[in-house]
Amino acid sequence: MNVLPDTTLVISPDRNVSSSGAPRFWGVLWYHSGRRNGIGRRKAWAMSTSRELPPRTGSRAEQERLSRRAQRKLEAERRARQRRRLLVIVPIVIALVAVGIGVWWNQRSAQEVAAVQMPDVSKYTSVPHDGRFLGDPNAPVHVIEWGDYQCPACKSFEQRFFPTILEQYIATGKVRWEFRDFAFIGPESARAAEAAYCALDQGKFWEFHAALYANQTGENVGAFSDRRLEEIARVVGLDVGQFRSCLRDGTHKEDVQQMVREAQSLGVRATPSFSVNGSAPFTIRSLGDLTQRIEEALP
Amino acid sequence: MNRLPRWSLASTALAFAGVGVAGYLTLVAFDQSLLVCGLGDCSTVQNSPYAKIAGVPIALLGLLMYLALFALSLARWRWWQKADVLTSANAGIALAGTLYSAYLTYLELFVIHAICQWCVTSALIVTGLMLVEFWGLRQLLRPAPLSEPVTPPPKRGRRQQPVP
Repeated sequence: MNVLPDTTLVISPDRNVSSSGAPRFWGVLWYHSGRRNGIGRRKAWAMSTSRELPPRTGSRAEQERLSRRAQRKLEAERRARQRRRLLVIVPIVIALVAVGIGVWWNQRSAQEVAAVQMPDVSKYTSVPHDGRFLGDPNAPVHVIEWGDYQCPACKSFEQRFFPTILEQYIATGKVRWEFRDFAFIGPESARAAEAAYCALDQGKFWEFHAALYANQTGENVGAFSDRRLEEIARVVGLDVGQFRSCLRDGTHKEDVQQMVREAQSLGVRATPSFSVNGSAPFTIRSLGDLTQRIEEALP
Repeated sequence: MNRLPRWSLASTALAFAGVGVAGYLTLVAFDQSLLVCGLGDCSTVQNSPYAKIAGVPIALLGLLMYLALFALSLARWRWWQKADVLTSANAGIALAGTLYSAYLTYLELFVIHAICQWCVTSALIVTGLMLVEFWGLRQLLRPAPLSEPVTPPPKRGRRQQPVP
């Protein structure tokens, strides 16, 4: 490209205009004078300062045409460059903003720990209960449930299916139910199991057991922090001072670990697992899986 | 039609695989008969409070993301002249997916303490997609070399020539 910009000042006073069509030294004044094509001073100034080049005739017009094409090309290249930059920057910025919002929202919804609630425990207290056992001690069928207080499936079983079992088999004296800990999901699982042991010391295992599931908000997210466990104990009606010292001293830490080891040696690998009259532990996909096993064991 | 570049085919294949994985995880998320908490299982991860945003399972959001990526990459096949814009959109979506997967994997490792192999698979797929899409974007946005001869406009047929 050998075309100089329109208003470049070149000191070479031979002619007003160089061969490329650009004005030279005196030519700058001449260029803006409006005498070139008789178009008037004002219009000539406006044209010379605008992006558009003034019309020319003859060979100069040819030069100007080339200049305009070069300008258009430059402009097109500039636009293309800008477009390329936008096509890279815009998606990156949008992605970063979207991820930021997503993470913030996810954290907020996860950290929302609900206030401690007390569930209805009358269904447990209305049947004979003793420590970890529910139901008639002389019932023909003995069912063991292994659970983890942080396990959502255990909560689902407890709240959706256990009332049916309680009503149809435990309250009728057919089944003696036992709950054992298989605390494996994390530190809060073991802590909750220890806390249930401390409640057992005060004779309110099943009330505390139901309250733990009712206040399960997630896994290792503070749902069963010591502070919250104390709050649950208060709602259940335990002696909080005694409960606190029991939990703080780790009175039942070894008991829980022993129970988990026993379950592992029996073959428990997931929760909730069940055993009917000493059978190998099994998991269920529906309530029918369990009631069928109970029915088979009934005399 | 010109042959499509290999990276665009790879992108479509990866997006399709992602639809499969995320579809499976979404099915599990909505499976009401899920009654087992296993060790190192996806259920532990999927039942954690981090598995949902405002009640919507993240698996479903992942499925929607892969469907969008898949649809856009098919659209790119159809309208190749718009490939740069479509690739830019795909690259942005895949970048967001990769960063969010990184966050979720961090949660799995250090907060939930359980690894879901399907979630890790999805994270790898979306990372691959991101790399492919940015590679493709680079190819598409590379400026034409200056020495390239200007192609003349197509000649018109005889019928359209002006009558003398």
